[in-house]
Amino acid sequence: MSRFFYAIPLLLYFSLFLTYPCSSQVLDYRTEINVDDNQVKTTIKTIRFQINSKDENGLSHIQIPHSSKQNFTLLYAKIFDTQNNELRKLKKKEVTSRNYKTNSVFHQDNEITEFDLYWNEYPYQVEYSYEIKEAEFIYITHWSPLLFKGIDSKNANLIVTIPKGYEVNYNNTSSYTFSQEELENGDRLTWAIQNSHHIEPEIYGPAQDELYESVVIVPNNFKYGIKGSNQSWSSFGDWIMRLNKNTDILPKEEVNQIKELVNGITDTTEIIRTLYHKLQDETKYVNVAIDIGGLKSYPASFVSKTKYGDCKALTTYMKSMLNGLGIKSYYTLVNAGSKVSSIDTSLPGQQFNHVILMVPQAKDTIWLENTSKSAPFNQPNDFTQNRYGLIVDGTDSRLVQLPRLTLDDVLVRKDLTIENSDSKNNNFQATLTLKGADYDHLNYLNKKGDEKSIVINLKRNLGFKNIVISDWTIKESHRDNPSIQAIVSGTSKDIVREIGNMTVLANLLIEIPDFNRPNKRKSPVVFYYPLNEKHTITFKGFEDISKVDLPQNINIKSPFGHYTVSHEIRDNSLVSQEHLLLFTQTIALENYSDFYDFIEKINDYKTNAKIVFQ
Amino acid sequence: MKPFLTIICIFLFHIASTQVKEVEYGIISSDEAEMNNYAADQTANAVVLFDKGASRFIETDAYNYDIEFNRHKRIKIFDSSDKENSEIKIPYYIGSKKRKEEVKSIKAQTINYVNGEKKVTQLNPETIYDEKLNDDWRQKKFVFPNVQDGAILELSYTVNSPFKFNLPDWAFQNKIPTIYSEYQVAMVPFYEYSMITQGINSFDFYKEGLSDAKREWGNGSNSAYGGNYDNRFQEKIYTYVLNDVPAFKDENFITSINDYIIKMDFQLSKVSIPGQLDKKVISTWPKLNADLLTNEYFGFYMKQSKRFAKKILSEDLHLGDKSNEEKIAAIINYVKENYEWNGRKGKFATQKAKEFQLSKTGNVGDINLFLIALLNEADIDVEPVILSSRDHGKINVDYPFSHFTNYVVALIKNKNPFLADATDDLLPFHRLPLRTYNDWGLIVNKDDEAKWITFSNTVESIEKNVLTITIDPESKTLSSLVSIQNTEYEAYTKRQKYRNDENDIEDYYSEKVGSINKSVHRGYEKNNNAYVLNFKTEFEPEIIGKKMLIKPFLNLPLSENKLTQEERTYPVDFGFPFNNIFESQITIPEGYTIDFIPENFQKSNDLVTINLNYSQDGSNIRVIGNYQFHKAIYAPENYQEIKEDMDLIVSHFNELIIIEQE
Repeated sequence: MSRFFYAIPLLLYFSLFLTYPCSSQVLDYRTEINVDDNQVKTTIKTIRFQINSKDENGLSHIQIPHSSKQNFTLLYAKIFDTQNNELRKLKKKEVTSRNYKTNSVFHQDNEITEFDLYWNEYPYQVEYSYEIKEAEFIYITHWSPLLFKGIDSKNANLIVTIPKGYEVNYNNTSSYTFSQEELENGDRLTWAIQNSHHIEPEIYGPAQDELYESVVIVPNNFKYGIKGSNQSWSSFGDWIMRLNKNTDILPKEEVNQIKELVNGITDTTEIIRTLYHKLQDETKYVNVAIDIGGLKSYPASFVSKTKYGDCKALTTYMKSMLNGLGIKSYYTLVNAGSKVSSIDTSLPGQQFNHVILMVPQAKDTIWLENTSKSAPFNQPNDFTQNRYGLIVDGTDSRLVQLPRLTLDDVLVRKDLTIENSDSKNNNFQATLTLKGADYDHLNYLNKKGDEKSIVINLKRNLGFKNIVISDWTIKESHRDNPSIQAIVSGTSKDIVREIGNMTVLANLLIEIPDFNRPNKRKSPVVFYYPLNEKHTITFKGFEDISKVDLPQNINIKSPFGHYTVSHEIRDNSLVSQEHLLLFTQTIALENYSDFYDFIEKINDYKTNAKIVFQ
Repeated sequence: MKPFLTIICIFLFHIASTQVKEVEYGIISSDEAEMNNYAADQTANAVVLFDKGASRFIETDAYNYDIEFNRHKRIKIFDSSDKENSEIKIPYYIGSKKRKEEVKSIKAQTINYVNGEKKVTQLNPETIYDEKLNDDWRQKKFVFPNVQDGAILELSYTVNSPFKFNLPDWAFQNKIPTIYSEYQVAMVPFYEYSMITQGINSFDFYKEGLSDAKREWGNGSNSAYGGNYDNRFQEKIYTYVLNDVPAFKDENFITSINDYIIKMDFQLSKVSIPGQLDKKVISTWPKLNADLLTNEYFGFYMKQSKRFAKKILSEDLHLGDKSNEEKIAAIINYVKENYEWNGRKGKFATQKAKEFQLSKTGNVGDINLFLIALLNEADIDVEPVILSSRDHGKINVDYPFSHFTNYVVALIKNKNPFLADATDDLLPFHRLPLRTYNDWGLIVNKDDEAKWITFSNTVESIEKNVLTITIDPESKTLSSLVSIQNTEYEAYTKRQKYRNDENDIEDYYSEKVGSINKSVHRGYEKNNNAYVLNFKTEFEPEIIGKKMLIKPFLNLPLSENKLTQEERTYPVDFGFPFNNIFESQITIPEGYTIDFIPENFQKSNDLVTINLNYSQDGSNIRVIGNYQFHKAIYAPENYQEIKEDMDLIVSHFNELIIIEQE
């Protein structure tokens, strides 16, 4: 499983990952950012929202995250009635703080400041304002008018004041009113937007942040730990490289150990593979985000001693092992996630949350995910595939396209044999050969030895209900083969159903995603990687099976994908083969009807192609 | 000398041949080094080789003691990928800036054996992090370095506490097996504790005895306060050992692991300082009640609340002509509507009454003690009842330990007495939140005898599903009017889950009833009434040739047995008894005949009632059924039977009616 490093922009983007009832609304969200002549950034956020009923009171439990490098001050927090009469002011002693906690980070020094502001007459309005001062920063803002997940914003303004000669680069989505005003000592840039609506996620919809309005502003030059520049990807990459200077040096003693380890191996790829296995076997992922832990790696010597680290530290460690053998490799920043949030290539700067390692070879390039104890060597995975990565190589740093998952990489095969039984529960034996994300998940559980979760995973993969698993075995492939096989046996009463005087066989088990009708779909459909699933189901021991009217075979082809089914009687058994293929693609809303028709054709066929005995 | 420790436990003392294990930091035996699995539990990813804790009292000044707790633990790792065993968290309490616990002398090392050679990696102190959990608690945390398969992790630390009420408890059981667990408490004669054990029939080793050395109390003089007594004393040392404690395996549907883990707890019961009167901290439930009634954040808080109660009664509630029953309902609903529970439990208020009136939010204590004050002021006979919430473990009524309780509700002693809680506005005024149903509650009053109330949920909750289904022969779809009427806790759980949000309701129910064309929901605001979800839906039935397969209750009944364990040693706790009722009327269109109607089914006993009945009237098929679980909690010995009953329900309530096109 891939892991992320602590990404500074994401901390402030949605201040809370909680959802609230939709009728509450942020009335006014004003962000004023001032960069002074000493290049100290002061951000004042003032938020006013309305609570209409007791059900919405959850929003009045306010949590403000801020980082350890920021100087945070809560300016005020008050309750008003709708006539703007002040009802109550928060007292200092009502404010509490604690360390920020997330499941993926073992320890971080960021904090949450929190307080409650409730009133008992509705509607009421809460307004609070806080200031954050930062002497060092790498971006001015990653700003969205939507402050709370699930809550619309009526008015939102971003006002940025910068001194004369202070150069910034910015980008924004299209719905803002933008103005620029020249001041005596600088410039004021203003973005305003009204009625920003929360968008409900949809099945196979784009990454959520792709759907929202945003403004991103970065300084051309900055100091964060050391001086750096966002003027180009090469300058940003160069800053990352300088920030992490001398971190990729392995202690001499360990270099000698590595040399001994690979002694006799002549092929460079095999040497890299050996070191990668050493990394996987001896280290583990633990994320500690302190100081400028978001971007600066712990040195290789730290991992060498502790044998743990976050993605930066583990990647640096892997790099240092290769350095020790004179093999060149490159720290590569990536915005990881199973949904691909695109990199704004026109706006160089910090847009990443993960690090992998690129090792150039004469014939090919090797890509290494260094946080997983189970990921196969040099195999793309759904967290980092098919997107831009920033190769960190001093002033030669550059964006490159990372390898994508191919049809073969994601092929999932399920072979089931169902034996007729006198009881209502029919026996089944299944061989599941999983690749892609399904492989990642089962392989992770298997390595962890989590048997309870493995059984849940196997039931989900079998694709029918009311399963009692009597036996299962996981057959591991070679550690670098990205596939895993599970052999499962058990019973289920859902695969052969007795209904009235009929026996109905469930012979088509590929689950088709439940897409909305075209009039309800609001966002494009995105397959970030292909779906490729093949089933073979064999029914044995059913008398007179050869007399059954078999459904027509089918082959539905479209630009979106293929669906193929064949049925045959073989050795007095019924064998149905089903194959679904959906390509990597983005289906725009204007093409959604055609795609929906394709899906409906598949569903219609599955509805009418049942095998029935009378 | 006074007694040091009152031992209250159910086990028989048993002095076995086991001796106390002598260990030295860093000295690893060859057995420990070579161990590659734990024979008694081959599935274990790690095993605690030993866990030794020792608490003693250290003199901080002439007349005061702090508690010093030392721990030394060694773990053998079989599978290093299970990270939990190498991540250490040491919580400590901060009462105020002046008095707080301190964690000191953390030492940790990882010992690996590489090709038979011992390699020790020390914990770098810079990688010990301090985390603020809330205003009262912090924790030290670190990760053992260089943990490989076969590694031995060794840890020792000291916690110094000025809080005598915080004499560390001891858990003998962990989530991994424990080979040897020892706790030693060296008592001084000035503090008396009660001890309670859980899950222990006998210790493998137990010893009590006096320390060899004598300590001096006070400033060395034996004439303090004009007295003339021996100011030297010996510590009384108690040692407890358990061997081969199995891993605690978590199971579904249990109230709290606190109820089952093998452990011992301590409670300060008396302070006996020479020259001063003995101070009984706690000795009986009535004494605890008396203390609560004078406590600043319990009894005094209720008194403080009186003047606000008076004002609210005269200015907001106007209860003059109302009956007692009406007054009670109005007051409870007033508190529910005007104050917000912050999600925290606690029997004590956390703020002064005046502050609560301003903040309008608080914990259980803030809200329910104010409710009691308000009811009192309205001349309603009411008393507080303290209890332990379900996630806090069960109270053992034999032992008067304050920290066993963490919640307070109001006992309203009206014509029909009932318990009330004003923290949840989604429940009717006379219903308690499910979190409170946990066996026992103690009435807090001035009586000399403790009075207990049982907390068991006997209120049956109903979900009644009424369906009217017509069939469109052209489109081959089922048009259905579906009404789902929920009462009591069925209504509450749905109110809580959906908050009447149409999108959330439709997202959930579209899988149950098909595509939803219209939905109307009633009764959300009136928590005393049924919460009714009405849908107009289109459902696509399964078609096989000319046959249409109709689920009379669509996908509303239970479709999968959630009880999957082979056997169960803990009760199955549903939270409340429930009755799911189904009524469906299906009109068969012209051109179709009925091909198959399933058989009726009945079963009834003390545990469960199941009924399903099909009838036909011309072109209408009527199907009526229900499954009723009579109890909220089923004992483990009933597990197999209710598991089979669940199977029957899944099987019968999802049977299909077949109609065929002529």
